Amino acid sequence: MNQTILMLLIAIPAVLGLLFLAIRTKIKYFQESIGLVIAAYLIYLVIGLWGRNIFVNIPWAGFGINLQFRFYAFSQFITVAIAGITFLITLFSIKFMEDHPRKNIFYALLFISEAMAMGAVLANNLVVMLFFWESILISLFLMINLGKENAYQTGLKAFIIVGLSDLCLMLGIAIVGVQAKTLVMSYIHLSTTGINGVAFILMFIGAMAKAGAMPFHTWIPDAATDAPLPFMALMPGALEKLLGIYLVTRVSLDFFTLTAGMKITLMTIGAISIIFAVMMALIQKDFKRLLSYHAVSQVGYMILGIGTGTPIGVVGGVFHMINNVLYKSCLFLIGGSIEKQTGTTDLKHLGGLRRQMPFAFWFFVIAACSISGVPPFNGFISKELIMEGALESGYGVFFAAAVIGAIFTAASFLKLGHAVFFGKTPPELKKTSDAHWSMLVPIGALALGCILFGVWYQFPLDYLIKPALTFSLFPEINAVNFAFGLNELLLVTIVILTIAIFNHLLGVKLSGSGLGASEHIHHAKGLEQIYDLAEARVFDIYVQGRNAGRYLVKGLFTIDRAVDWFYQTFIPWIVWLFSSIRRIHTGLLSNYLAWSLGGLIFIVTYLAWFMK
Amino acid sequence: MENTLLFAVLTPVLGAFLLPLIGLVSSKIRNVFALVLVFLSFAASILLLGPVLSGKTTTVFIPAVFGLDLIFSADALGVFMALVSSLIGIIIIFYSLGYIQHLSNQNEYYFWVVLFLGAMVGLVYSNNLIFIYLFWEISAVACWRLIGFYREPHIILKADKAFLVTVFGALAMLLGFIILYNEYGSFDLRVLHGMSAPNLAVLLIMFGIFSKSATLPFHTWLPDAGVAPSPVTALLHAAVLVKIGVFVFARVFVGGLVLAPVWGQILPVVVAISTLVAGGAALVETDIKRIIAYSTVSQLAFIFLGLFTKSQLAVAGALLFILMHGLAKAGLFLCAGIVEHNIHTKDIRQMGGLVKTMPVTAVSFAFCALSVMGIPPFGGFFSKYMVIAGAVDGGNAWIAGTFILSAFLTVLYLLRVFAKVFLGELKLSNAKEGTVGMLWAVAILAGLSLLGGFLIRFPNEFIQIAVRQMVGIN
Repeated sequence: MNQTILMLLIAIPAVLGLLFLAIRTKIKYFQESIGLVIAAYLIYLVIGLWGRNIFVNIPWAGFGINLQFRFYAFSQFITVAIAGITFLITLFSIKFMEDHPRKNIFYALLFISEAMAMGAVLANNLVVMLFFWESILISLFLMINLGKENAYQTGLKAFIIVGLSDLCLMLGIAIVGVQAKTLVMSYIHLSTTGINGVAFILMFIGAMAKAGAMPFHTWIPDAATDAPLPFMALMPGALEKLLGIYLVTRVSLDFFTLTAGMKITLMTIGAISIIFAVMMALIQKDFKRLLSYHAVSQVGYMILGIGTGTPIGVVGGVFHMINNVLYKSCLFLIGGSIEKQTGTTDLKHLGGLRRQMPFAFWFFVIAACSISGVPPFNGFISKELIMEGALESGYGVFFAAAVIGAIFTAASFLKLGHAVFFGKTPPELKKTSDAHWSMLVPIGALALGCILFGVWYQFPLDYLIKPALTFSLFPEINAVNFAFGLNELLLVTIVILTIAIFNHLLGVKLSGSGLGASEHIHHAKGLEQIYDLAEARVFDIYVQGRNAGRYLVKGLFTIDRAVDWFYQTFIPWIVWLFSSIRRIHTGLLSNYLAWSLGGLIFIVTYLAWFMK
Repeated sequence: MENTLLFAVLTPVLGAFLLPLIGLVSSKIRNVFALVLVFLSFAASILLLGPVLSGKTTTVFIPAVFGLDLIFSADALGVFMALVSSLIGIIIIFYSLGYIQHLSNQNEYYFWVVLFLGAMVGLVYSNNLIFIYLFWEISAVACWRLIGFYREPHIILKADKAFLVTVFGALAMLLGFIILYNEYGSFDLRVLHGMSAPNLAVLLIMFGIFSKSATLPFHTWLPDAGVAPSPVTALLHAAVLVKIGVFVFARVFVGGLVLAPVWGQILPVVVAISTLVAGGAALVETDIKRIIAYSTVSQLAFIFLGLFTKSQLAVAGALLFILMHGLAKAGLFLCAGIVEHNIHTKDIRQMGGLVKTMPVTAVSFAFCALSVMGIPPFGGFFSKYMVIAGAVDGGNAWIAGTFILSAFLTVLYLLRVFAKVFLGELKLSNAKEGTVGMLWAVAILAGLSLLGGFLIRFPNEFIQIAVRQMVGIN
């Protein structure tokens, strides 16, 4: 029975999505109402399985590739998050996507993505996981495609970047399958020496690219401007983070035992993602683009936390993942409600909206405080844990990176909030009001989550995260705890926030507006040149890869042409040399045939003689 | 069952000769008869499944002099290949009904297509090297006539090129066969089983195999062959004919003679170069059919890699690849055929936005492209994974890495074609969908590519039997 329910978690949304694709109806709220009911039912189903351990094993492709699924503490935690976020985004989209000409495709893809994400998390067989994991690529591309006129260009970029990382994951899984002699995920425990190290790196690339860490992030800011907004809240905001960090955790703690060098590599990747992405976020002048860089920066924290390998850092990293889903989706949806109400997310055209959109404003305050790490919201707790983990790992530089990232995160949200909700309201926005309740409810629910997970942090820590991380290898996780107190980390937080506020005030004073609050950093000596290069896409691996790849591809084509030249030019030239043959070379097929036949007879005669 | 086996081969081979005669009376009856012939062969192969599943191999043996005994043997590998070939053949003939209807020389067209499919079925069931060679050459002649179908001088030159390259390759292979005969006194593969192959013979046979299956440095005839009518390209140069070389390798060296270990090191490197070069060329070309043809060269290397590797997983992956690639690549060529047929150009730079006017073709193309790329849930995912994992399993991890790069190139060039042809701004207003029959053909291929992923269990169970027979574990 439980096994059937587990399969239904994947099958129901998949079938629903396919039905939505097939049925094109003009009935109002057809997809919306059915979608909401089903999404709610899926939450009910997952909750009903709470606390159980379920294994499913159905023969499938042979060669060790069987439909194996496992429901346990970690996957239950992620599946609940997936089901919850899908429900909230369905609710939000009712009004937001109301007038979209292809909304039946949108809802179809929403549920297909949910099904694939469920499958990827529940899978207990690496190839089955890859099957669902890589399938998301298709809905990723199509959902971006539903956006603006030429959004498909961004869709292609996303497809190519994520597709490359998925191929890396495929090779990694192939190596792991051979080295571990099994594809069953719960049996895999390898070292990271020799070829296993290669496998680890390949799998890690796949996982972190899904999560959107640098340098595989560059499609996300582009998608922010091109793709429909619920996509941003769903994919880069939630599902991809959940999946990516889930796999990062499993790969680096469960499948492999990391060496010290590997841990430093992970932490470095995390630190670089934090700093560079937040610096880019700081100078953005579009609500959605700014958030999208934070979606990258926050992944840096998670990878940094998990990379420390210390129990407290890992708990912090995973806790940060779920917190990020709460506040980042909340912020994206707030951006969506502003876009719906005002028609723009360009900060230049926004301002003073706290009067017109009070609900959006207060929810924004909660979510922004969470992401900036203000106590007692949830982001504060997880960031503290990560910083403590970074300190414990013994490398102060990573702690410093986390602190600098936190300062700029806070600064950029001060700027964002200031530019959107304070200052003068542009005249054309005077009549704006808060969005429809069906958009405010999901935003409010996520904001409430930010408060609950902050104030009652014991609940998520004890019931969601620690059970999920209690692998056989990692029992000391249960000792991890967190306590509010006047310790040095709280002081660090206060210092961070103070610096951010002073920086903001300075920026406002220098530029005269909230929007310009980061201009003094943008145009600071040395930084400006780097920013110019970044805006020119010098650091975009997609653009750079394309430029470099062109030469490689031309080179390969030259080899091909050279081979063809041999047949087309060289051989006829040799033939031409023998003028007697030239006369026979009439271009008539019968002659060629005669020659072939003659050659054949010659060979056969020769061989007949030879065999004697 | 022996009669069924003979029936499977002889129906299309002999029936093909009736087609031009029937065509004199009525073109409709001829078209239906052509479909019926291939379908009967397909049905006969399905009947042969029964004995294979219960572990028996049906064999027909008609003795003759000089080792030229006629030996047909319906083992798992043969039945698998016959089913794949004739299934795709049926769909392509069905598509041809619409594509070819207003061209001249239709009698000849159906004659060669059906004769070719008959030769293919004969080849896959043959267990005598000379008969393999014989059917191989019939397919070469069919290929030559069909590439030059439009009879224009520059097209005939391309047809000659394809013919000369493959026929010289085949002659080299024949030499190799004769060396084997000289060594072991038989052309019978059952006698040769387990013998070690002399290196010179292997070299000569590999010339033949690589030229037929269009692998560097014998591959350039394949992109040039795109001047043929699209269903021909789909049948010969994507789905069926180019698999002959691959199949003969599987038949002669995986499930037959023993290769010296050195070949296990040389051959994967050759196909690794081939896959990368063809992938790079596919990214540069602007002719839609040339791009897909280079893609075929590139993907054939995956099949070869699977067969070159001493691992059951890799061999199984290669066989699955033959099926999945055949379905998807035939679909790609047929979609390209609809596009080219309706807008009268093959240059992708002049296309764009066709998804708006040709939605069914666009979706079918996308499905087939995703399957070739190896993106789940499409069937191509499993074949690609199994070949890669098998290569790692066989100790070729670095070669597998090269092929991952090639798989990435596949993603790039297929996305490029799809985006240039179907997405963006609509440049041609006169573009319209193909005929209903043509659309059904591509939709069926696209649907099978998708179903292949979910129902992977069924082909794989059969392939497991085939692999066990080939490597001799029962």
